[in-house]
Amino acid sequence: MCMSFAFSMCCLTSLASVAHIADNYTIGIIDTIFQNNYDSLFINLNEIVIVQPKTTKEITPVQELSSKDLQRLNAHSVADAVRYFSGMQLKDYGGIGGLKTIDVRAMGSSHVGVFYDGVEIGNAQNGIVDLGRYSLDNLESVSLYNGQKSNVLQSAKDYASASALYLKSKKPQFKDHSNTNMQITLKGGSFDLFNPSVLWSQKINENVSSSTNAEFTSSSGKYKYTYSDNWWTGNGYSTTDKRKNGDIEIFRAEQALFGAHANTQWQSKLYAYKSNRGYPGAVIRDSQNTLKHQDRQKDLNLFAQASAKHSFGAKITSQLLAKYAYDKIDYQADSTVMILQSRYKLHDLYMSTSTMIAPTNWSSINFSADYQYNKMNSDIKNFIYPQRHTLYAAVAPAAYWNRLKMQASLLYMATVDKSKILINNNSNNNNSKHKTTKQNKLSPSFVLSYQPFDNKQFIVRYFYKDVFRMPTFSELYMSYNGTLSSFLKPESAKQNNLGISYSKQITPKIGIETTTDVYANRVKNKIIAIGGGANFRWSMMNKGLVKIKGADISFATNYTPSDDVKLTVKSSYAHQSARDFTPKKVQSDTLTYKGQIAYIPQNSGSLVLSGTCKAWDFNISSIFTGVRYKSSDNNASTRMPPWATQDASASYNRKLFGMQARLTIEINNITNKQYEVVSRYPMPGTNLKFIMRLII
Amino acid sequence: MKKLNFLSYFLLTMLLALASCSSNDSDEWYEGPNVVNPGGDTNKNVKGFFLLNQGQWNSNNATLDYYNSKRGALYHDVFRMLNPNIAHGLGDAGNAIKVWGGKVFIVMNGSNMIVVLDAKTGAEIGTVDVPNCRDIEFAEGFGFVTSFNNLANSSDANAGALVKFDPSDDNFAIMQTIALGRQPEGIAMRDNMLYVAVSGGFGNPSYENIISVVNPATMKKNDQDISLGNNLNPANIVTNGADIFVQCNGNYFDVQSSMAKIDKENKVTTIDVRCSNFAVSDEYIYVISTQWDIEANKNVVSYNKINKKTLAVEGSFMDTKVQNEITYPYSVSINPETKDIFVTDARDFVTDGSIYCLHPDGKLKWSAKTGIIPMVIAFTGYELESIDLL
Repeated sequence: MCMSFAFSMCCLTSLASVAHIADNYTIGIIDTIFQNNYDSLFINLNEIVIVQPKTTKEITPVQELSSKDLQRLNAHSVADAVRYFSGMQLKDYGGIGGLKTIDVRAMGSSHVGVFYDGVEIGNAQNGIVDLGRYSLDNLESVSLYNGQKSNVLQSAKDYASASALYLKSKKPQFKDHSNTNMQITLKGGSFDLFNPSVLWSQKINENVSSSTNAEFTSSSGKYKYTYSDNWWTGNGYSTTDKRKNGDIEIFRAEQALFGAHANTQWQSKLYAYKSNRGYPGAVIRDSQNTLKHQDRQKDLNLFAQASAKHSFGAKITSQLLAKYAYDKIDYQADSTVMILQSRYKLHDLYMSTSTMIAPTNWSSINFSADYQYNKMNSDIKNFIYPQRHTLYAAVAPAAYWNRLKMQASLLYMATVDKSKILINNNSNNNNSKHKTTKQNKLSPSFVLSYQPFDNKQFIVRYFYKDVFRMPTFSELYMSYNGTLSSFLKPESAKQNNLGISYSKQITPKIGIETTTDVYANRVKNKIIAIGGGANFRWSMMNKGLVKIKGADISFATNYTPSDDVKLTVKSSYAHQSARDFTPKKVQSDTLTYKGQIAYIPQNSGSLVLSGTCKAWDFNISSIFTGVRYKSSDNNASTRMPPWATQDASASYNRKLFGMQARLTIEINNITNKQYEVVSRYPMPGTNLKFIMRLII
Repeated sequence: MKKLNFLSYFLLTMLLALASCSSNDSDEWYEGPNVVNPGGDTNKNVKGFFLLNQGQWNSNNATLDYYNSKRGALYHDVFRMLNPNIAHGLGDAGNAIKVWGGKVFIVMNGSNMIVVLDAKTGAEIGTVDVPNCRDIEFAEGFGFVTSFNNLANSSDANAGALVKFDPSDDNFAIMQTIALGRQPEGIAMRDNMLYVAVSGGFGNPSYENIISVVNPATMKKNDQDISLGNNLNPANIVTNGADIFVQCNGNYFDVQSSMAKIDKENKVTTIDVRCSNFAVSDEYIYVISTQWDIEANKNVVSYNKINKKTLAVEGSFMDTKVQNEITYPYSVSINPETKDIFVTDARDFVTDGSIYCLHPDGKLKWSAKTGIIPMVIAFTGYELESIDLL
């Protein structure tokens, strides 16, 4: 691993010296990488990237990948892309169909809000969103905000998570006299991947355009892996086997309408996702003749959402959002005794209204109110049929004086949970009653950014945020099932962040950009499953306390020796100390007290080197994750070895029968590193992907 | 120049990351023996015990600890040390362990097999494939294993099975499999008959309350099962040769856990005590219980000593000082020779547990760390000779 890491280090140092030698040409800063003439010559994407907000201008720490970045990185889904953000841990069970969730700054996956075109993708069941399910093909950008997005006009839910990932879909752009764009993409490669997709944009009239996107993915999910017990000792077993039952079939379709009128902008989206996948399960010792790992899951996700923004003169702007989502999950578990089948149905209704008033040119205030209704049904025995009504209300004033920008917000959240619980358990007489639980919480936040010198590129920023997350339906169910009357409080996360950002065009050919943030977080009343007993009954408790200290550092530089050659380096490093301060009750609790919590590495980082040379695009990227532990009992048997992987890709662009064609080859995990992110779920070794894209 | 400063700063942090990854590489994972009882014990026939740590379900982290009486030392994870080349180690979800005929038989529920070790060398000598195996017992020179699966191809898809195998055979050949009721758990042997607890543990809300009786020679099940009456969901079953004692888990809802005694005439007596594990000595039954208290929103733990003759519950067998240190008692065992009491603590079910050795009067003798979810102890009459290699 260290060898391969050294390889990427070499790339960085050699690039740095190249950058040092040259200094005479003109180019913008990192985020405006491609020059217009280059675009029209080779790519001529009809969806020209809309100018991105510069990361340095954000009040809260944000990391962003643009559609260009996304195209260049060897990323199959949003999950692959977010690995390059610092301070973020991707939990990946391996393969295309394996669950992929993120944890930002060690606060836990369910503290991360994922927003698709401004509306949160909910998961009332377990609070986590599988990022492996979101394609990058129709995305304009993926951005990760620590704290909250600091837009002046936003919904109350935008203030309601500890950190947030925003997926923004591409708005169609049309060339003169053209009303139709068509993009056809075919991907194939290792794991028997077959992934055709089509993106069709149509201008309906001067004000309204439509974008339709459909995709089919199939993969056998088969890959070889080597599993060894000699990570540390150099001796011990090493065995090679194949991942099976990881097959997946996905069909996804999206239709979006974009409208822009004088004072009104609106957008609507219909989304359908259907999948059928196998779960290969954990790699465990097993007898050869047992039927194993036959767990399967079928999903159906449908949603419709709409948003509209209207300006009432210069001082008042309002926004409306609405969404209805329906999810159906059919899970089939092979317990070896019998096939256990369970079905879950989730309904999610969401509405939001917000109004921003700017009384002066240096101040504004945003009022927003959201309502959400969630319901979950299941055919499993003694289910609690949870329902939840949530009201979010937020007020957020902002002010700007010269070099100082400030924003504060106060979020009020009230929930009413209803569930059906059992009062006796006779086989012939099931009696149940309704139980109602009410909670309400206030969450303040404060965001500040200050430019201390005349240099506009040097910014200091600070934020404080105190936010809650409600127990998920699964947590409630587990809790009722195990304990009947157990009462779960919301989990709270407090964050303090101080950071600087700096960017500079050093010479006309070389630009740099860097950010550093240090933070101290605390997660209180952390919901923990208390185990099992002989009967495997779990109970949930608000027991945990985690104190997190960390730093995120990013550095990027670009070098443009000539009009058609360009090199970019982006790198990030994160240090995280996330310690388990769950109160000690007995002597043996010292095992876990102050231990680094499960799966959070102290050190992690990424390095991306990309280049463009005439019709060619190149990308080499490396991801590094340091030592982690399987639990907060940090010892040699819970320690997981560090890993680093390298990916590379090359693309060739040219005109073909009047169409734009782009051919890409990707090699992922070049060094065939055998590693695991989640214990007992080995990741794929070296794998290949071919991408063919035609733009008509 | 500023650019260089930033670059060097960045390089430095990356190098630090690199350094921290390599410095850990040399760490030893084996901590060495834990001498918990300097001077050792004086017993003669019981040379020590194996402690099977269940590990987390589907995490393949079951481990085997070994205690050597003479040295008074506990050795952690001996399977891994003595069998480094067995792929995936001991396996997943250990459920039962017995020492018989110079061999150690470990029932690995999640790995669907019995792992067999040589009791003197600790080396793995073979496996017996029994899907969803639960408990093991020996009678008339043969081994018997319960399984939740319908291995006998009964017309009832929910039927469990009892598997007979030859523990002296090199390949541990399976000889016969018969169908039993739903989810059979513990097995006990009395007067050359096998008594099997049929739990119905997956049948919520309709649990079973029966003990099936099987002739180990013919593998014929008695037509008449023993009914335990109101005692639902029988699991562990132990006999002292005369009486049979059964732990019944209840329905985890409105029927609480309890114990039942089956006497020589198969007459059933209910013992009104909460029970999640127990052990039997000459005079007493030692019972531990963990049960969720709905009102208090916490686990209520109890330790009881029951007079075997009168079945009178005589209160805690454990010193309160020790009691206060235990989070989640998981098993209790009695050294048949010294009468020392061993109680394991599963703590949080996620990280390493603990074991407490008590004098017969309930005072602490020693305590130590174990593997994850210390499940069950098997006393051994053989000394593990290979421990000096460790």
